[in-house]
This record gives sequence, C-alpha cells and structure tokens, in this order.
Amino acid sequence: MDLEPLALSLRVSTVATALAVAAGVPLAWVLARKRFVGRDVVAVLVVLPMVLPPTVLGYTLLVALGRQGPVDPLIRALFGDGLVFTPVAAVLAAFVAATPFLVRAAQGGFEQVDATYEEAARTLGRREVAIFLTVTAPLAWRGIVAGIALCFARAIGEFGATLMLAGNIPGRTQTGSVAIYDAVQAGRLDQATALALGLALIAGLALFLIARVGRGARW
Amino acid sequence: MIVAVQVERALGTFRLDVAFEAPAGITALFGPSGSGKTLTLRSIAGLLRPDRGRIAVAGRTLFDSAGGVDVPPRERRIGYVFQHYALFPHLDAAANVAYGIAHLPRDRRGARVSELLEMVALSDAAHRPPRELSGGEQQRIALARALAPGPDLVLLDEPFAAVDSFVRGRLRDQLRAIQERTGIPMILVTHDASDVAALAETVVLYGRGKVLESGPTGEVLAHARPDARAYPA
Repeated sequence: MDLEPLALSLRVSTVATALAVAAGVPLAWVLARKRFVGRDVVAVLVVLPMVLPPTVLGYTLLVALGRQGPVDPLIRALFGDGLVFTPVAAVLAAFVAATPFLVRAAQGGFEQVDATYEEAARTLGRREVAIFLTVTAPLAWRGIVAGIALCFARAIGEFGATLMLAGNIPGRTQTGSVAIYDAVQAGRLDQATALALGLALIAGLALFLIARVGRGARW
Repeated sequence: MIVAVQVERALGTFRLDVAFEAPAGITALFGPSGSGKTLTLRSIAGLLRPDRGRIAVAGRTLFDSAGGVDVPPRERRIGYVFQHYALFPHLDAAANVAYGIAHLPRDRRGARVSELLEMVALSDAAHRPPRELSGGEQQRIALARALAPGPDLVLLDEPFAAVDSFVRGRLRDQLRAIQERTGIPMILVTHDASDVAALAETVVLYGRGKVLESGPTGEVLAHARPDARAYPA
C-alpha cells in the first residue's frame, strides 16, 4: 500500500494555504476597506476561479506558464528548469483554485469590523500595520479562520488543475486525489479505498484543528 | 486661543461651513442632530478631510488647505471619545487604556494605566472586557484611553448619550473634575442644553452646517434662548 500521495497532498495543501494567507488576507482587507478604480474588476477576478471548471484553470495556467508561455524564460532563469510537471506546479494549481475561498471569507470577516475601531486606534497614535495586527485582524479572526479552513479543504480536494499543470508523476506530483483516480483507472481498488479514507481523515482532522484555533479567539 | 477651526466640507447636499475658536477649559458644540457637530470633530481629529480651511491646536497647524498641510490623525495628539465609545471588544479595560501608550516601557505603561484607571474611579474594572462594563463605565474607560498618551486636546462626541439620567449628573461632575485636574482642553458635542449649562465655559451654537453664534456660555445662552429652544431635544 503506497500512502506517499497522501503525504504529498498534505505538503502541497499546507504550502498552498500558507501562500493563500500571505496573499489573500491583505487582498481581502483591501477589498473590504478601500474604494479604488477597478475594484469591481479585481473582485470578479478573485471569485472567477471558484466558478470556472478546474480544467479551465489548469489549461490557463498551462498556456501561461508552459514551455511556449510568456513567463517560461523568466521561470527558467530563476529556477533553471520549467515549472510544468513539478511539485511547484501542484502547489500553484492548488493555490489558484483555493485562494478565492480564503479571500471571500476573510473579506466578509473584515467587513464585519466596525471601521470606528480603526479610527479610534489612529487617534491613539498607532501605525496602520500595528492597527491591522492588533485590532482589525483579531476582530476579523473568525472570518479569516473560516477562510483558511475552506482554502485548505479546497486545496486538498484539488484535482483537475493539478492533473493538467503538475501531471501524474508518482512520488513527485501525484497527490492523493490524482492517485485515487489513477488507482481506479488501473483497477487497484484497495489502493483507491485506502487513499480515499486517508484523504478524508486528513481533511477532517485539519478542519477540526482549524476550528479549535478559531474558537481560541478570546471574545 | 487653544483651538482655532475654520472648515468647509460638502457632503452630498449638506454643506459644512464653520469657524470658531475655543479657549482652555470645556467648549460645547451645541445644536440639533445633523447640524454638522460630529463632522467638525472628525475634521479636527483628521478622520475627515475638509475641502478647505485651517485647523490649529495648541500652536500647531494640523490642517491648512492653502499651505498644503494635513497632519495624519496619529500625529495630531488629539484624544477622541466616540459616541458609542468604540472600546476594543477583544481587549480588557486596562489593555484599552494602554493601547495608545504601547511605546512606553512595560513598567511605566503599567503605572500610567493604573493612574488613569484611578482617575476615572475604575481601578477594580481593569481586567473586565468592555461588554461587562455599564454605559457609564465604558464612557470613563474611553476617556481614560483618550487621555493616556497625553493629548493636546480631547474631543467627546455625545459623551452622555448612552447613559441614563441618574448616572449623567455624576459623569458630568467627574468629567469636569478630570478636565480641571489634567488641564487638557476639551471640546464636546451635545444636543442637550443641560450638558452645556453644567459643563461648558464656552459654547458654539450650531445650525444646519453653520455656526450661529459662539462665546462664553452664560452670554450666549442668555440671549440665544429662543433659538436654542427651537431645536428639538
């Protein structure tokens, strides 16, 4: 029984979720608090990966990042090799597919925070970054945590875009969800069952832990 | 004069166009709801940017549209007690008071918080979260928080609106005593004539975005009575 794909799924989803937090939480704050030209366009672009079929995402990423794509020379200059069919591609596919869930939930969390608290903090002499870390983020905590949970769940479940961009290389890019498909196609049903149960266990455990952290908020 | 304000700001169909000066002590901006009192406070604090005008506090120019001056709120050294106090709900009373003096070393910060809690007679409430404080207690914590960094001026927006009339008298006395003890000038917004009479040395009478009259409370209230009475309480 080969459970390596589960370990890869866990690694890929964790890294993708961490990247989603780094990029998505500030973006959610901007969408919740700032009014600027093109805001509606950004808002639509953020949600688009949620409604598009994962194959469209995978294909788009393949065209953009593949050997013939515009960014390929830059990627080769930086990493010395192409991106497609690497573990990094699996992370990227999960990141693009899952980040919208984080942004939506975190944006909702930020919108719930009365802007008067931030104004009060400003009159008390604090800087914007400090205000974000000590007032805005703690008060939006539930929305952010819900977003992290949804994001991680979506990343664990990512299949279509991963298959197209990262492929199905055992031990390298074959994540749990891809390995299940592969095992079923090959008639290895015991392997498929074990992976499916393992994936469900990991996802369930992660959501449980995230919910625990969320309740740890002090108010 | 400690405070000199001249502000113009259009907001939809409403036009705020006011000018007044405030000496030391307590000054009341007095007028009906919607006459622009809160907008004036927000302009002084830097939370609302006037279209035109000049704001100077304690010898510092904080805003001057002609000179291109617009000091950000965090550098204005102006305390603000918001209408519903805006105490941080995830921090206890002491942490709220300490919020604006985070740069002080721990021991000095602690001493300052204790001193302020004692001044507002809430030393025993230090570790209670805002939701466990009464309206009057919240108001005093909000005042202590605003005073903590040692501001040049404190603004109070309807400080007694959220408390019942029994507590109101005591809170007024406390505010008066704290103002006298600290010597920090205060501008408060109210639509209640009894607040003005009980607290303010100076009154600025507001109506529809304009200053109708301003001066020492006794003089203004004496002959502005018919106008003042025309306002709905």
